[in-house]
Amino acid sequence: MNNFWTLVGFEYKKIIIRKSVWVCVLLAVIATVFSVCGLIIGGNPATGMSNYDEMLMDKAYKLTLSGRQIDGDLILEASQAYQKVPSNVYPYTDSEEYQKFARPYFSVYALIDSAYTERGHAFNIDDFQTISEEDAFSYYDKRINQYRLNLQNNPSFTQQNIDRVIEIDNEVQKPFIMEYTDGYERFFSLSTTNAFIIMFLIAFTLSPIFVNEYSQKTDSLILTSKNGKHSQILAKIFTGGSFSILLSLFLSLVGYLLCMFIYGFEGANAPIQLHIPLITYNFTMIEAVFLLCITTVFGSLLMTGICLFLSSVIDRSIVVLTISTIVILLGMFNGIFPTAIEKVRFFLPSPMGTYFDVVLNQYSWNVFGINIWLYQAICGVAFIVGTLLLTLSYHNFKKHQIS
Amino acid sequence: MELVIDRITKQYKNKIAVDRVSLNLGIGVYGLLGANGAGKTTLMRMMCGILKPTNGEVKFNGIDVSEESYRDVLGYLPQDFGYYPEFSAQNFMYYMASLKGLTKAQAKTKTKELLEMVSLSDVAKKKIKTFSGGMKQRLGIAQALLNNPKILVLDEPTAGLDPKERVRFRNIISELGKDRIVLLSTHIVSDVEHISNTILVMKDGQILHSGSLEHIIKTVDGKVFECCVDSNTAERLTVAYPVINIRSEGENTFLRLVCDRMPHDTAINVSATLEDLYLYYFSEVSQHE
Repeated sequence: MNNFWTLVGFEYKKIIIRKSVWVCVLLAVIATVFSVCGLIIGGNPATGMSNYDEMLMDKAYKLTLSGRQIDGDLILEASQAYQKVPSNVYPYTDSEEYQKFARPYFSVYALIDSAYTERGHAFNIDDFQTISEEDAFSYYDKRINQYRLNLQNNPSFTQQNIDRVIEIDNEVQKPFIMEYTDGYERFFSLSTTNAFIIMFLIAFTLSPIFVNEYSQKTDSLILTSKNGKHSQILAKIFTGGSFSILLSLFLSLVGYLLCMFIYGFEGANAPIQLHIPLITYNFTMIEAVFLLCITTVFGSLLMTGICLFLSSVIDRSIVVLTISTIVILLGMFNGIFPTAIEKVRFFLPSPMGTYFDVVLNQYSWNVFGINIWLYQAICGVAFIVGTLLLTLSYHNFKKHQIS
Repeated sequence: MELVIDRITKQYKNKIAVDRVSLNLGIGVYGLLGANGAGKTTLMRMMCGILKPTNGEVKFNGIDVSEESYRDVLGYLPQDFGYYPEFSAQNFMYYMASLKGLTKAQAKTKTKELLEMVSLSDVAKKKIKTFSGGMKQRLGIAQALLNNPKILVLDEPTAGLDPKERVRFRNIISELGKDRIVLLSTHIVSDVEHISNTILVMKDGQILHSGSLEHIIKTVDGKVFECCVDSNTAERLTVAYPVINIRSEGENTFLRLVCDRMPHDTAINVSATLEDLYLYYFSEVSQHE
């Protein structure tokens, strides 16, 4: 491919020469910083402490519990601490007893409540204060039964899917061991915003890649030059793909490091069940981070395919950006698709970078006897559809007629 | 070295933009003359492979227009010359050079040489968005020459150039036409007159005439008249015939017109020029535009 890398360099130059791209990247970094720091800004009037100090205090409590097994003994110990919270103070978290006795065990309560929640009745503080010894010691049974029940009530799950979800829970080490994982939990929570920012930035940056050649009338110069109908188009596609990968990794890294530096690096090897106990994937926190980065990259590639394809067939940049933004937003809203095609949403770019879509939803498909989980399927689909769209973009620009 | 255009046609729904044009072009400068909408740009685009003909083919030494090796010998300046406003002239030339397959060293040498040729060396590092129309046009000409093309297609290359630049440009084109095929279209008759070895007159998608200046002008020989008449007669004649020149001379009006028969008793037949021919063929189109 003649002059391919030089042409790639010029395509990058066309991107970075736009001031608006730099402004958007800067805004994206600022938005990421605010998303990470949002919870530690301000203070709590009830305790008179800043949110940052409260975070440090909770961290200390969690670190105190670190290394302890989550079992009946710990649950009952936490329950006893919660029993000291008076029932006549609302909200109970404002009471002195809560702050003094129960708060050190808040992480235990937060972790187990989903297992004891019954249909139509949340597991509240009263339930926790009066939890029976039998219930406390059957936490793991209740947890898996609760999850099975949740899945059975979800029409999107087949029985085979449910069986597979329950089956892989055997691989998860139990009892869980308490660890401080707030840095990772914050990073996972950030993923929704992060995915939106990444996908929007890709759309904003890559929308003009072909369409600007049409609108600036440089298409005729490109298409009449020796390398214009092959190397140059490949250079554009490579630039689009590599830029979106670098951008998604950069913004993910910014978010990750911010979370780690503010909340702490602890908990990398803790199971993801310490964040969301009902999940049955056997991943550690750091593995989940890598998984999320991989799916985000695939989502970015799909977004690149969509943008470049639209850019090659539409002659106005704003129209390309508008359609791309609609695609991004469609993926952001749960319940926007009819139940029959509900799962389609997961195969749009933005959910591919969202932890709660990629990991929390344990959909699976049996393809020729091989079980494919949602996080695997979205990577495969993103690769196939993205490649197809990029191939179409190549041909659209190559065959573009100037009339 | 031969560029063969064989019965090339372009049809848009109900309109035939180019109608079965066949040409054999060898080394030299070819001036394509025609009014707006005559099909000049469409023909040039098809010759450059950016517009697919409805019928017919274009080949250079047996190489089809769609092939990379054809583009390797092609230089093209489009009518609407597109550029990257934020790029400097030098960077733009480097980019175009890489598109045309030049190495970095070649790009550097050629860029320097061509920017000097079009008098843009002083502003080589300035952004193109700061350039005047004429400077942009000169840059367009320079980029078309980067790969030392054997086929040079220039669609209205002198548009936006001041008279001094135009004369300079004509000389460059004449020089280039010594060892390559140069096809240029223009509205400016004098450009074609001065630099074309062969003139192609195009109207309604067809080549009406093709040949040297002398040969072409012969088609209007005996049809160009000059007369000095009163204002009423002048008014009547200007409505009836294509007028090339009109000016007041005391109480009378001097007219130079093109028509098939003597327009007035006092009119005298004079030698024709290319401009006379242009008006003879395209006055009707011009009046409608």
